[in-house]
Amino acid sequence: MSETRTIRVEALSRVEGEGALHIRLRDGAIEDVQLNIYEPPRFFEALLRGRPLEEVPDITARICGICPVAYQMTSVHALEAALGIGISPEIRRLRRLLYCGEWIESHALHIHFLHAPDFLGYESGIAMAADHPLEVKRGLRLKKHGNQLLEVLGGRAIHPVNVAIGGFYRAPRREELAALIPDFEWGLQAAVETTRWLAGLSFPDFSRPYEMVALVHPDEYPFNEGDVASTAGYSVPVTEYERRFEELHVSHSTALQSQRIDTRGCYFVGPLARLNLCREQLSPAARRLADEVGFDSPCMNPYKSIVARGLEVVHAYEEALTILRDYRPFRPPRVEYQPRAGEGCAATEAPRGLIYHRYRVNDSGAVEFAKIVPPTSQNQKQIEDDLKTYLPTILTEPDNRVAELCERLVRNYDPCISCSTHFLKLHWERT
Amino acid sequence: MPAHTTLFVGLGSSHGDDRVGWLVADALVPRLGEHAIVRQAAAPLDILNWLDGIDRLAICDACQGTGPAGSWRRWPSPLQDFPAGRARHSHDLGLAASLQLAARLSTLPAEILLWAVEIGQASPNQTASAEVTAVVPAVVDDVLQVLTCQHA
Repeated sequence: MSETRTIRVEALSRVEGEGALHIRLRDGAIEDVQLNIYEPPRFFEALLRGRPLEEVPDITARICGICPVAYQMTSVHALEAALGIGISPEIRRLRRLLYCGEWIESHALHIHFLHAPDFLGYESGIAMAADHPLEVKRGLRLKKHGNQLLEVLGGRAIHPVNVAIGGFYRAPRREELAALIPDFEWGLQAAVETTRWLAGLSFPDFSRPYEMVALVHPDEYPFNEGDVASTAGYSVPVTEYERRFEELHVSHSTALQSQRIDTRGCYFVGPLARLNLCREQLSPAARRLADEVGFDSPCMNPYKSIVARGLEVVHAYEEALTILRDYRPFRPPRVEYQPRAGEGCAATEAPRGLIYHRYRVNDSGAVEFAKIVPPTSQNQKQIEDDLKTYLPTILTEPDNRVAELCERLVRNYDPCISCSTHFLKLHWERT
Repeated sequence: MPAHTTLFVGLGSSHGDDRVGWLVADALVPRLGEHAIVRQAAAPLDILNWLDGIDRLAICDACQGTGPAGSWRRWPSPLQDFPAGRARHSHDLGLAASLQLAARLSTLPAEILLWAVEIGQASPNQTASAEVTAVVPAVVDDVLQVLTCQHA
């Protein structure tokens, strides 16, 4: 008679939406693993229809409180493609600077308060702070710098308001950006120290032959522009994204999952993908540091994403400093345009990975269609696949330990659920 | 000269009733004057950026599960029975965790006051409900009374 073990994880505790894991075992073997992740962008796709296109950056910024810039940048680039707008090099540099701020604050938060505790045996960043106050205070200060840059350039740290289609509503004064330089000079060295600390952590031996996907650009580490490239060997314009990847409904989740159209396989986006595809485009200090700490090339261990994030914080500080030092105010702060009917798409690199938008607008300047594909939904199928591979190795553990180890694996992806120490509630179905 | 160096933080988001902390902060800015520094935050962890030189921390945030929408209460210092479970959103530490972190880093002010307003909906990009908006003046009045020993 077969024995079924059913473990059900209710909606994740202390999380805005539902994050649940359902595992079904039969006679001790995994029969099914289902992961649900809450996906707020779905509401926004519908909410945007009929709205004036000028409102899109402001509305999409509210999808996520930690990475509003990612949604704003992708929306303005997609709408500019729809309207046939080209931006100036000065505007382009300021947008990269804004993205530097977001990467710094998002990565600093995840590294120090959500992920590093896993590697040091603490249940939370709070517990870790008692024994590692230097590292935690350093992380707080790094995060603060990111917020400050968003406030100065974006208009405020909470949902920046200065991003406009065609550029910015206001270009900052030189002294406003220059005032950030001392902190960013400190931050660059602090980021290097942080990454050396992270590289010294002990990592589980878990590597898989992932297909990693990120934007690539011949001249720069990707933020706002590039082709969509894969470690599987292809590189295509962003306009080809929906011919390569699709979203699908799965019966066990309200969130859509992404997959390759041709192979129906999963793929991996995020800092590790960027490092694997764009290592040569890292800033000089980040590239030297990657070599110094012996960061594998390619690296296929998702637990080492934390080191990749550290390297990206170094890159963001170094690039930000270059822009801050060289900045000269310019006019106009944004390119003027006339509404016209059109359709456009764009992809940028959010802290968590590639994000894709497509919009259709009418000649009255209203949005008729919006498609928003966040990095977390693109990683969801990959996360599920990782869990299916990982779970057989830990099934002899008690259920609460299994949940803890599964959370740690999921945290490698820095998904939109990893705020809490214990965010996964586990459902087991044992038959 | 105020007896304290006070920081008031309105916590919230742009989602429906969850903006109540920001609404209270907005109303306080022209009325607190030298009695407090007023800030808005979306992430509780950001509070730790502003604690240097602060000896009294006052916070207003939304809460759920304590009563009907529009009800509110003040937790005096020290924070007893503080509902520790509400996470702000899925990328951040919750308020309780952030305050615990500040305490662990020895940066938490000696006095902490919390006003929590029970909310109904926190729908994306929606305005606050009438029930919650209606109580903002009362909360502001109480904050002013406590922080300035004055009525609004």
